[in-house]
Amino acid sequence: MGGAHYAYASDLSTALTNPSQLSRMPGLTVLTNGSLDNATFFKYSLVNTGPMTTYGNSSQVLYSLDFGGISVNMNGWGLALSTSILEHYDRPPIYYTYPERGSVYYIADLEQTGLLRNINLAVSKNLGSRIFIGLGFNFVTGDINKSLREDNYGGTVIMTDEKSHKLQGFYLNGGLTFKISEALQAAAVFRTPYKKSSDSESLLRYDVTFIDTDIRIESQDDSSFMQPLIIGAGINYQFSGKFRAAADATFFNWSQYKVTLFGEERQREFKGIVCFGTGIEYKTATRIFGLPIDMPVWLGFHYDPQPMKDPASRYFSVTFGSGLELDRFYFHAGASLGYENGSGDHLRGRRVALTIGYRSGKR
Amino acid sequence: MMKFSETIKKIVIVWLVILIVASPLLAQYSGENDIISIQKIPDVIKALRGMNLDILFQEKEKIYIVAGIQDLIKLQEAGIAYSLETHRFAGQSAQSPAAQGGINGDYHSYLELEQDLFLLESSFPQLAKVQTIGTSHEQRQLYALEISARVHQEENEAKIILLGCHHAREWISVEVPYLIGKHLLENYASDQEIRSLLNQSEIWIIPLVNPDGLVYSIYTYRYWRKNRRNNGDGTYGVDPNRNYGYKWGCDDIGSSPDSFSSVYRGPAPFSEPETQAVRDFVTGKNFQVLVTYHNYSQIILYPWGYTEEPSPLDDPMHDMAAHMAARMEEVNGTPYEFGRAGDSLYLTNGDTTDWILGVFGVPSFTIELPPVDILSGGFYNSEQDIIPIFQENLPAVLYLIDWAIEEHSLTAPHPPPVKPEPLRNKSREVIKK
Repeated sequence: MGGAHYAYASDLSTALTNPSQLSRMPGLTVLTNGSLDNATFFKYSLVNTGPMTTYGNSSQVLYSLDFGGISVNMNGWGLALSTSILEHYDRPPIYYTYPERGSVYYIADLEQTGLLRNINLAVSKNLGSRIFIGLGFNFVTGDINKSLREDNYGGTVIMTDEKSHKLQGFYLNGGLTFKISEALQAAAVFRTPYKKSSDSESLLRYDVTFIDTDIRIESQDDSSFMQPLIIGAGINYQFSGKFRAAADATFFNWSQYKVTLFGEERQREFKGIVCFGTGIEYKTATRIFGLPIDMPVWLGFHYDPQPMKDPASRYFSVTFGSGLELDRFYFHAGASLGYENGSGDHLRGRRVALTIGYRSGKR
Repeated sequence: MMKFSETIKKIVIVWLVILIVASPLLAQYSGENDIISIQKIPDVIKALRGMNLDILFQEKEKIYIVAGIQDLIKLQEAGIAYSLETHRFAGQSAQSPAAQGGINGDYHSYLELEQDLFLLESSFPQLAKVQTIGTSHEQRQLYALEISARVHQEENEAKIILLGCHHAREWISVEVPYLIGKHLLENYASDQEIRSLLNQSEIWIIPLVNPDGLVYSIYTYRYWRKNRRNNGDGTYGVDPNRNYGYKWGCDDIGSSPDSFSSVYRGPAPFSEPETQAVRDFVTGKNFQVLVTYHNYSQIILYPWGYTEEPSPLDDPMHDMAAHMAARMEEVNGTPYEFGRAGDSLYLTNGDTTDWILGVFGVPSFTIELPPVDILSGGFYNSEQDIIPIFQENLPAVLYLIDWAIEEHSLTAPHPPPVKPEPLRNKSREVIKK
């Protein structure tokens, strides 16, 4: 639904976005989610910023188990424990060879991998029948590993550049949902700014294989990545038992983004941005092998401006999906197609997500 | 009661001891105080008594003092010689604390260099002055450090300019001119030769001509050479040392019109803010001599670079290069070859030295620092190489300052520019050492 989920909880992943919805979930829910991402990149690291030029965009396919969690809801209290992957740092690898006179004269081998994991413990409470509040405690860990190896003169001179970051951090997220009427709900959410701290290591090496030249510059130092404050608001309107619409707006204070690499602050020309998502859900019902099954269908749109000041760039995404929902088990499949505009690189982001869930008890 | 007061006394004593021991460490990182030493001479001791200085400790021949800027000014005004000793309390490296650490180890990043240049200015307010001469494509400041006795006075003195890091990956070319400047300042008070030279000359040091390229080389790609111009065709960078205006682009051998090339000369002479800054700074300054540092090859080059033909100053520059090479070899036994650029490595057009000779008639040298070849490290130097390479280059600069003073006394007012075309058709073989 275009990522519009602040004011309506379809599953316990709401712990990451608006934990106040947890006390509106069924008594027990279990959820796991996996995805396939296919994104294109043009400029990253030394690719298309000087030394290496590609004729077009490079693409990257990632499969991952993104989310797993459990929630309980008793006596107006909601509680959830979940783990998720928040960010992927993988970039398309580059392996380049330059032949001369029938032999390989130069090889460049560039790789970057990494991700950021999150453990979220969230609690929520209803304050009467109309107001719900919630708070999440988030512990993040992760790593980024980047390596470049260049073999020159047929392997005579090997130059290596290896950098790694072990990341960790903590932040709070929270939300408030207000049931304005039976049909209309509004929500406000936040995520505190936080610092992803890193123990970082670097090795620059120049190695001539057949003589005694082995020059190394090694470094271990602290790095940090200041993550921005996020504030969001959303509404959900239930037109009927079958049809609803929702919309979210989210402000990311990227202007405060700060990066310190190996003890030295790096400049980032970022600006604050507002993302916007909206979508509709239509539920039909059918019977398969005699079992009553709900079949929701979703359609949404998401607008996601990028924080870089230059070039001004934004993604427009169309999202759609459907599901099969039995009494307790459900299966959802969704997809998004994103198109970037502004950088001139015409980047694409495609994603397919599959969700399997279990729920029991009343909402 | 007695026991309690004794305990208090002990605590006070322990704290005092901790403070005394820690004070040099605190001083070195404050950025405001330095540790200096002064020779124990009766007249000097007498003069020090009225200055209310923070004496750290004394040895046989020296008094060590924690000194702020005002203290240093007082000492200079009183004509009391001192040596900066802060580095002795900062570990074994002779590099400044700011330069140490980070991906680039003991080499300076842009920010570390900026910090250290201003530290030199504040530590030696009567001798050093930092000036911004322009900004790079990515809006980084280009700094020039002026070193001279009575640096705030306009004087008709000999002038010499040292440039570093036209090429981003040549990290050692930042360190050598910076360390030369640091050495001159730290030893002005204690070294008679340096004091005499600085009393008669102005030394200008621009240790980092290409800051954007250096930052990219440190954080993204170690082997990056050019600046960071976005050429608009998917390529980046102009070679600043092919962008100067004399014989710019006179052929496609000594530079390239192709923006993909590592020796791309840019769309026009002086198209780059970095070379514009050097041009605008140098013009009108009447320098006697220029040195620009690069690596690798261990060779001293002089113009012309755009042709194999000799320049009008071929003979004197050959002799000067020979003098420099001899002095450099004496330090660590490192042999530096020397010769005319066009005859030695390869042809280059639009480089710094051709421009300053061609336009201003000023002798100019490119010093290609160690290592000698690609197998010995190419554009890489180990961190342990920094100090020895600086040390072997110092006597060459002292010789050039001396030469410039002599030249200034003989030739002032400044000689007219040489004609752009070579006057003689004489070639000289590079002397192999």
